[in-house]
Amino acid sequence: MREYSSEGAKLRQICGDLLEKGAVQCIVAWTEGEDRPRVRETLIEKGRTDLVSKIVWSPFCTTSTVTFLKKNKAALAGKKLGVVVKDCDFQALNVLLQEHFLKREDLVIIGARCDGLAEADLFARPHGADVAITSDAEGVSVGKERRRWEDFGFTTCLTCSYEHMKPDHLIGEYGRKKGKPGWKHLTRIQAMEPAKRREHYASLFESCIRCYACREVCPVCACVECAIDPGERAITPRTPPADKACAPVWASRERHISENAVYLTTRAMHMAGRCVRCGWCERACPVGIALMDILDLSNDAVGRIYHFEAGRDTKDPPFLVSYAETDPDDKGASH
Amino acid sequence: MRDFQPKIVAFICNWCTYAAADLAGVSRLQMPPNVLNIRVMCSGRINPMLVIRAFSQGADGVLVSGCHMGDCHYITGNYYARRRLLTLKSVLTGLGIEPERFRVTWISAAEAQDYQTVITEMVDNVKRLGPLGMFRDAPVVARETPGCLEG
Repeated sequence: MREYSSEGAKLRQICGDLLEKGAVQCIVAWTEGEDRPRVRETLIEKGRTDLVSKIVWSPFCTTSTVTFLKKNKAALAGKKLGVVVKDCDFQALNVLLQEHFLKREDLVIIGARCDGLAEADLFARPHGADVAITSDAEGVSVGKERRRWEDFGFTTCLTCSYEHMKPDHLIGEYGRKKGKPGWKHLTRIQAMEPAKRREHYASLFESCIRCYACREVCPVCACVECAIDPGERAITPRTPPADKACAPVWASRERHISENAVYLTTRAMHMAGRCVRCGWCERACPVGIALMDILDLSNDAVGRIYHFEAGRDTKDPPFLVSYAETDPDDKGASH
Repeated sequence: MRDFQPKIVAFICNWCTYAAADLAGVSRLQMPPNVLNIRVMCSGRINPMLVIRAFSQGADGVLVSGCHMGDCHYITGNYYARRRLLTLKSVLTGLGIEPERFRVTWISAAEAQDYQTVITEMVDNVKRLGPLGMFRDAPVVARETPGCLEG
């Protein structure tokens, strides 16, 4: 049984200390409002003790503080920053550090060990501040209300096996044994005939409406310019030919299976060695595409063939821009 | 009805496989004409998106061929290519594109015979597998372009 109010108290103390001593200029953390147990990520600047007192840690801290950092990079540039992360956020942060998107010396990382995430919408709200949030191996309770981990639909949490966070400050203890990444959905799909598999994935590709919600919500999708949808380099009648030549159209904006396939397959490749399996793309998708079915294809290859895990260590070179002489060859590559 | 003629796109390295393909042509080695050779300066130049795009635009098979490990003109280009392209191959295989449709090979400038073997095998395999048809209604690139090497 894990009780979150004491962990929250410790977190508030750490954050308060950091701000007071001037170790950081601001902190990104989850805070609680009127709608308990729902939380949101908030930027807390020095002197905002009212906000520090609202900082919480619970399974309802589903949103990613790293996505917040990514979105607000320009506004936060050059500031000494504290950031509260859970396991998958820590991995994502490591990926961004590996790629020099953020500087480690600008950050104070406060890690919260996570047992899995829970959907606040499934509970009656609002709950008073005195109602205890607890979790154990089977599920999460808010006061007397109880839901099982399986009920929340956070499938990536059920197969999460990451438990080697090394932040500057660490709170909480794991309350349940983390599983090995057993990707049942993938095994089921891989057992199909290639033609059936193509059908399955073609149906996913077909329903995509190219809203790019998956890209926006992804904590590690942080390219300045997206190859698929280059907003900065939009081609207008006034674009000079030289600029046009520098902006290849990899996939047109047309909503067509062939273009959607380019987008989604490219995304899977781009995420190779970077995807931290937080599952946010799948949850953000407005048409309910099982995006993890696609992304896990590359996650599986990266883990199985190259024994690489995204965000394991800041010192690891990024997967796709490194190589080993012992990397395997294609079957029949040399005669 | 005519036999299914697959369309194979081959990205080949200027320093080795392209020379091998050239040698195969000069040596009058017999090969099926279904291959569209695209010369690139290094297999490390092959962005996975090029392969994905080729498939989405109607290719039935894609071949990427570069220099043997250690022989890269740019020292390490093919090492990078190998990791990238084999990850891509796993993804494509997972999507249901048979492994025979996407091959990564290393063929040096002297190995014209190997080039012939790879092309022949690939065309045979893809013929057997039939059209890809995953991206149906995809705009089809003109099919009449013959391979640049007709026996």
